Amino acid sequence: MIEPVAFQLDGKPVAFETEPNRTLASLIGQRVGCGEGVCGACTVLVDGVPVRSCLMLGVQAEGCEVATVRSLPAIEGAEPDDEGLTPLQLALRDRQAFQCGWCVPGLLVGLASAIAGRSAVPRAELLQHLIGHLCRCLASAGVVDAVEDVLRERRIKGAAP
Amino acid sequence: MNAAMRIGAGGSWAIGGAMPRREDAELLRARAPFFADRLRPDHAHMVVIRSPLAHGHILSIDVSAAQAVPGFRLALTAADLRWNGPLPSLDRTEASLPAPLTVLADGRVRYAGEPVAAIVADTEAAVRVAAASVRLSLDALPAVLSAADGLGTSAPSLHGEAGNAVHTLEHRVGDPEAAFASAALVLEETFAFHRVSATPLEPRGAAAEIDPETGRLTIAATTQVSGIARVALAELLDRDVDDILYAPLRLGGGFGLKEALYPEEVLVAVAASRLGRGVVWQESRSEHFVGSAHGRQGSARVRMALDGEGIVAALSVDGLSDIGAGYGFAGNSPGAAMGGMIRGPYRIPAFQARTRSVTTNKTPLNVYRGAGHPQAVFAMERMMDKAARTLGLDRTLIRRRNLIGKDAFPFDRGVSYPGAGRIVYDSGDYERCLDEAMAAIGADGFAARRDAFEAENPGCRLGLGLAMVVELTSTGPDETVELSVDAAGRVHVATAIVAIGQGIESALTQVLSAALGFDTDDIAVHCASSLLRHSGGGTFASRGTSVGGAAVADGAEKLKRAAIALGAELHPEAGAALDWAEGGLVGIPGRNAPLSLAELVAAAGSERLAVTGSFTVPASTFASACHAAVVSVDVETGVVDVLDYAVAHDCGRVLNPHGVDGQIIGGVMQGLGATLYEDLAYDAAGTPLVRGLLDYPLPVAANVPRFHLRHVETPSPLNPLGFKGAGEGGFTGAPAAIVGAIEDALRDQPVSLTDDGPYTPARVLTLLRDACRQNDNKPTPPLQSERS
Repeated sequence: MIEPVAFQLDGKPVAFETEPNRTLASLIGQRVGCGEGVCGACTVLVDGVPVRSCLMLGVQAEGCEVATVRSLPAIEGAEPDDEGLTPLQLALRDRQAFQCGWCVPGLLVGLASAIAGRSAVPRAELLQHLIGHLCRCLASAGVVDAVEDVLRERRIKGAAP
Repeated sequence: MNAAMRIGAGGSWAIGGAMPRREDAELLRARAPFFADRLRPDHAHMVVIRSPLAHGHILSIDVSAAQAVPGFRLALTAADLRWNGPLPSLDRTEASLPAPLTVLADGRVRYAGEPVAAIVADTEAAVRVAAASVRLSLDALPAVLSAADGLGTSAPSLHGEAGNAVHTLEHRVGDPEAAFASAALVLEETFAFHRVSATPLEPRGAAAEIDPETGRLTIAATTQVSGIARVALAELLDRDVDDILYAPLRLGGGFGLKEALYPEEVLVAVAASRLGRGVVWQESRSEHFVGSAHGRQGSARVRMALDGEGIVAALSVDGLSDIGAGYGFAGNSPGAAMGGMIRGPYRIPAFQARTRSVTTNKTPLNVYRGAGHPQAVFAMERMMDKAARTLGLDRTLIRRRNLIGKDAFPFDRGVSYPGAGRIVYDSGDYERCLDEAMAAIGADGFAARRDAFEAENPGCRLGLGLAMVVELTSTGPDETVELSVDAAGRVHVATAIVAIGQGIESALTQVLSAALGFDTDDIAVHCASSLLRHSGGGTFASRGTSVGGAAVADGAEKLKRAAIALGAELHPEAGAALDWAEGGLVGIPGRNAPLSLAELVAAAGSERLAVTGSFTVPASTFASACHAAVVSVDVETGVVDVLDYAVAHDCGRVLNPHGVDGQIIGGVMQGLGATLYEDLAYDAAGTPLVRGLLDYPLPVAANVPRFHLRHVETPSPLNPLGFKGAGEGGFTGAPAAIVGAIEDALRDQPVSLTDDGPYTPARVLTLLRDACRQNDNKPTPPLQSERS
């Protein structure tokens, strides 16, 4: 059985003919680390809400707006620099907050969404958030520092509402 | 570091500089070539049917219902394979008994999760339906579920009739019997090591395509050893090695688990050949815990002979390694390192050891970050703590009295084992590592800190643990790189080493930049290249930077010589003044700027500047470290928190302090996870209890302690750059240091910790309850929190 599904993917309309039991992650090519919503590698936004795309069927995205790491500047509300990197990406790099980089796209989407429009987030909340973004290279201590760098920059610029 | 050398700004970097990683921008933009990014929609999908039983005879495999599913393409069982193993294993001896792993189980299954059949269909959905309709009929056999059980005379023999102890290594140095007979004190303990999974976040995967014109086979697979896998696969499929290419991929973590030729790589190749079409297999996480190699499990019975001052005269070890259902790629290596390296940094002149690999009905074992070193260090360091307690000596003092002195190198341990060769320590300063780690953890002020902490946190106890590590790294045999120069003057380095997150492109870039005085923006490193004329080794045994780096340094020298020779032909007027400096040729009369590689290529083409760099490993190098941990134990909840963690690490000359720090922290955190949370448990029937990440809690950011890292540099004399390996040592000391700290925290209880965990809250509460029972007849009250 094949069903049609159409939605917005990173701002562009897409349409698929798909088996109804195929996950959204499989349909749009997200990296899947566990298939049970634990590791966070496949995180995307569906209508602005973070979703583990391995736990959602592709056909459920009908009519929705799906945002992946390609929409990071929009999610973060920041323009990328000359290299195409946003403040969050640059901060992760400066803090050496990843090694193999495989989990990074989902991590970026989840983090950017968690701190969207905010200029102060308690460290405990960030640590709590990172329980849902596993990193086996365990460079993840640097992630909290990186996010705090981004928030500090926002406060300095007074850019956050 | 000056601002002009910031991230992305290139520049020339020396050895020891904190050069930013070059691969990061690509990783952040999600453009790096991981396996999942290579999937093609027109590939057929493969699912592997696995045994649900630990041990049994295969009565029948009925695929007829699967064949009726729309989209079905192919079913493979052992009977359909022209070649069915053994899969390569590298670390046997001539005396090892046969215990081969096959691609698909033939007649008998030996572990839950063993591949029995493969089904291929047009789509992911169709293959799931088809796979679910395969009917597998098995007749259960009694299962062997521990190494100790496997040695029993009534245990079923998994391979042949000769029992389950299939591989034995023995060592003997000095006169241990005499040392034990005359010792003032003999201590004995048996240590147990639990089964864990490396769990790289990227699962495994394999895809194969056949070029319709040339018939050439292209494999994309999550392997750390594509160079070795390619040669092995060619032999197995009876193909010319040049007919097989491994697509260069970046791995989302490897940690040793991806150091193998796995059955699925062979199966996609066979299926693609039969179908004349691309075939892909993607591992699910539940499959990962049964179908990908396990790590660690075993035991060690250790006897130690000491004099009254705590000098260790002799050590005797009887080790068992639970290798699972047969020989993994390097499945005997954990046991080999556990026995061969157990004396660590200590002199211990008399020594005897026996380590045996025992087959059991579990997923095959392979090396996992540190191989057998964490087990060796755990047993040795726990013995040292026990000896210190028995003799009333300070834990650092007893270690100090036994350390090999810094002037004693090279230090021949008198033992050798497969994959390691003769164990001769090349350099080190173990006492300095000990001093630096103790200073970094604040050992001097620890008693006061503990008193203050326990007063402020009723119900919590604070403990300090330490562990000293010597670790075999940078094994051979050799590594080859190819250097070429493009028209823009950029130098390209092709290597078989695989990027698994360790930053190897950056490391090799930095070595080349330092050797040539070259801007890093003009260097491109291409990993996992299977286009090399010479097949390289790959990523394992903490060898990429040291062995690969030495090959790059050799290539750089040859490139300079080639450039000078070419320059001399083009500019004979320069004569002997012609030399390499500032990233080009200098000494040409009438020229101020150096003659660049781009100009040489423009004048004479690029062929003259293509060179091969190589390095043959003369002997392994030995990295060392001292780890120290401060942990709190909440005696009401059983929760263990690691608060501070210090490592003084010696990996020879440090290429890049950032790179080394990242490896140490990541390694320690994996050791912390294994010690406190992770456990690949089986039930009494041999059914694995871990079905996914919900059953296998990994450490997270909230579990990361404050790190205090120190670098001690004793350059290795065994390679031109003085490097030793740095990738695994972080794990190696962690279980011993953390468990030592837990025991120290519970110092007023009769608790002696002889296993490496996991120390979950439930486990810690059980320990405390048992301790209370032992205390019942004593005058001192059992441990209770002040609040209760």
